[in-house]
Amino acid sequence: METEDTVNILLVDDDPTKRLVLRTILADLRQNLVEVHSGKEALRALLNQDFAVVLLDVRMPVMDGFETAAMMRQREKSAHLPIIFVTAGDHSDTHVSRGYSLGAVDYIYTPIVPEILRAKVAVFVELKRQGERLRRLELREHERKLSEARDRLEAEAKRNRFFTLSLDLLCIAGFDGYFKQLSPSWEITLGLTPEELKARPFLEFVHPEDREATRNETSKLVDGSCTVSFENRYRSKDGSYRWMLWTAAPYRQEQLIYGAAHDITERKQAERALADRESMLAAAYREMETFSYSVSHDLRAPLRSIDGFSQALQEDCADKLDESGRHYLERIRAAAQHMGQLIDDLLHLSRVTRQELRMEAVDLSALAQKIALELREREPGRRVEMAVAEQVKGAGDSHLLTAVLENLLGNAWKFTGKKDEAKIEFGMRADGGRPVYFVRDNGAGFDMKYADKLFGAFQRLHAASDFPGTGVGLATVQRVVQRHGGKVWAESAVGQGATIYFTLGEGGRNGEQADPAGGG
Amino acid sequence: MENRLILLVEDNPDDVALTLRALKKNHILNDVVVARDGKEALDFLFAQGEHTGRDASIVPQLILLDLKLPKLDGIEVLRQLRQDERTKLLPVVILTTSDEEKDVRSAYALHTNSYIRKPVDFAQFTLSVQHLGLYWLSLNLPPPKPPLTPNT
Repeated sequence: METEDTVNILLVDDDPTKRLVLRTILADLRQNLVEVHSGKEALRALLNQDFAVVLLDVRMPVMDGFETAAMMRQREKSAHLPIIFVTAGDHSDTHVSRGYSLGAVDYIYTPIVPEILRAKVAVFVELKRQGERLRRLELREHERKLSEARDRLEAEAKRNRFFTLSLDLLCIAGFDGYFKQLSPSWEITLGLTPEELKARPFLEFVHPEDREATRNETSKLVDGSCTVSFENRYRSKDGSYRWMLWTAAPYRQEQLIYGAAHDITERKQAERALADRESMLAAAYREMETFSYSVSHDLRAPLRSIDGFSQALQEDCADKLDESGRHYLERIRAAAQHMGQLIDDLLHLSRVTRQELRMEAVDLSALAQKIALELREREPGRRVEMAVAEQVKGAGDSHLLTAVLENLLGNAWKFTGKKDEAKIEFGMRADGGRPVYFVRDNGAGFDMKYADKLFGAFQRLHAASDFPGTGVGLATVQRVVQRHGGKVWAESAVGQGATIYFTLGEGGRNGEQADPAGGG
Repeated sequence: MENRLILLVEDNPDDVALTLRALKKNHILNDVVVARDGKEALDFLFAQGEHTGRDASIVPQLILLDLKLPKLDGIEVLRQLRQDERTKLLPVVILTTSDEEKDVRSAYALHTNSYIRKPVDFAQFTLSVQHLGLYWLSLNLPPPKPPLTPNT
């Protein structure tokens, strides 16, 4: 077995005695001696093993030493194998020159001087060992380099795997303004192959409006600063543009910029859509303002003419009008005034929607008391029992909550108009910790079948001849309550009176004031 | 009767007729000058334009001013007459259809003396005019005369 320190020595001699002599002499070198007895066997041994030197007997039957050497030289593996011919003192020139022409390294003459043989063989052994050592060193160095290269490749492969995996658009660009390497996400996002993108300066793919900024940003990178949160648009194959959010850093030694872009097109579109909607909303809001302003100014004016001239007619031409003529004029005036009321209520409803909420603690009991008093003063002849619970408080806009209670108590007052023992109640009950306010009456009530219509504008559940009104009151109540983040609902039965319940949100909804067109 | 003049700034002829009728019904017999837009009102007050040559020292005792007017609106008329020494103290009553908070706020910001929304019901309107006439033409002490040299 070949170890680091032993090499093989081939002894070729047909004479066992001479082989024994050689072996004995060389034993001191402590190398691995391989003995064969013919040229043919020597050649076979050379096929299988590596040798430091061959001691070759010149005089052998069948194939002599020179023939064997000639064969050895023809093989690549043994072409430079050191050969020491062992010869029995034949000093003829032809013999020697023949040996040297075969690339023999040396001759040993018999009788062999052991020291000389050992010295000569030792040289080759040492030579072989050094060669081996060198080879091993080279191999190790080679392996080291190989392993380094492998590590590098692996690291690169791993990085490339990230490079390939990334949904963001990764790239390496040169200070010369061209892309050098692009992750596959570029092609997925823009539809342009890396070749197409590398073919022209990257600025050419940037939206014309963003080029100046991109050029500046690139200059900053080339000067050594990093890019954070830079946005620009890249053209895709179909001509549309994608928004990119960039982070990038330069690497001066390589004259390269490493960049990562995040496709924010969708976010940009969403922002755009939101901005569009906001401006549309603002425009709609302005339009509504203009509309109600115009309603407020212009719509009532003709009604004044109708009413005013009807009255003028009644007064100035009374003698020319009979009973039914005067009656018709009365109806014209009533209609004009009703329409005036409708317009006012509608404007009020619109204001309730637009008006900014001013939240505060409101004493609802006090409000209800005040409204009850006003109702009594308006119709002192009516007998109505008013029960207002004390210490009922709520959080909200006092002006709007006044409108709510005015409407609810006003309705209760109106719909109990045909009752002899009218009863109206304002109070609060706790429903799961949350206050529920209510206004209850024992008036006409309504069929719950129509409850869903109750809070719609201009929806009326009673004939105008029974109970006058415009049908806007409860719609106003609902808007106010909704703007406070609360709910309103009703319970009733025909002839059994009605109860309207409402809640207020916990201090109003968040962001209510930023939503002027809010509510229902 | 130089101090008994009323300037009615109103573009709607129906409203002009009805206002005059309401004044008459309340026996307010002052002279009424009608201006049909904002520019005409200022021309009258400052004796300019069509009213060049009018004695500008004759100022109305009361101005009834509508807000929505052609050319210059009522707010603008109010602004300009409050800026002029000759007219800055004149009693102005806004008499209009609108009770929009914006209008009421702007009018008071420019020191209107009163703001009255015209009701649809003519009977109520007549009552309003009666109160108005009683207050501004009888009860109220008018401002002193403006300085003789106008300061524009």
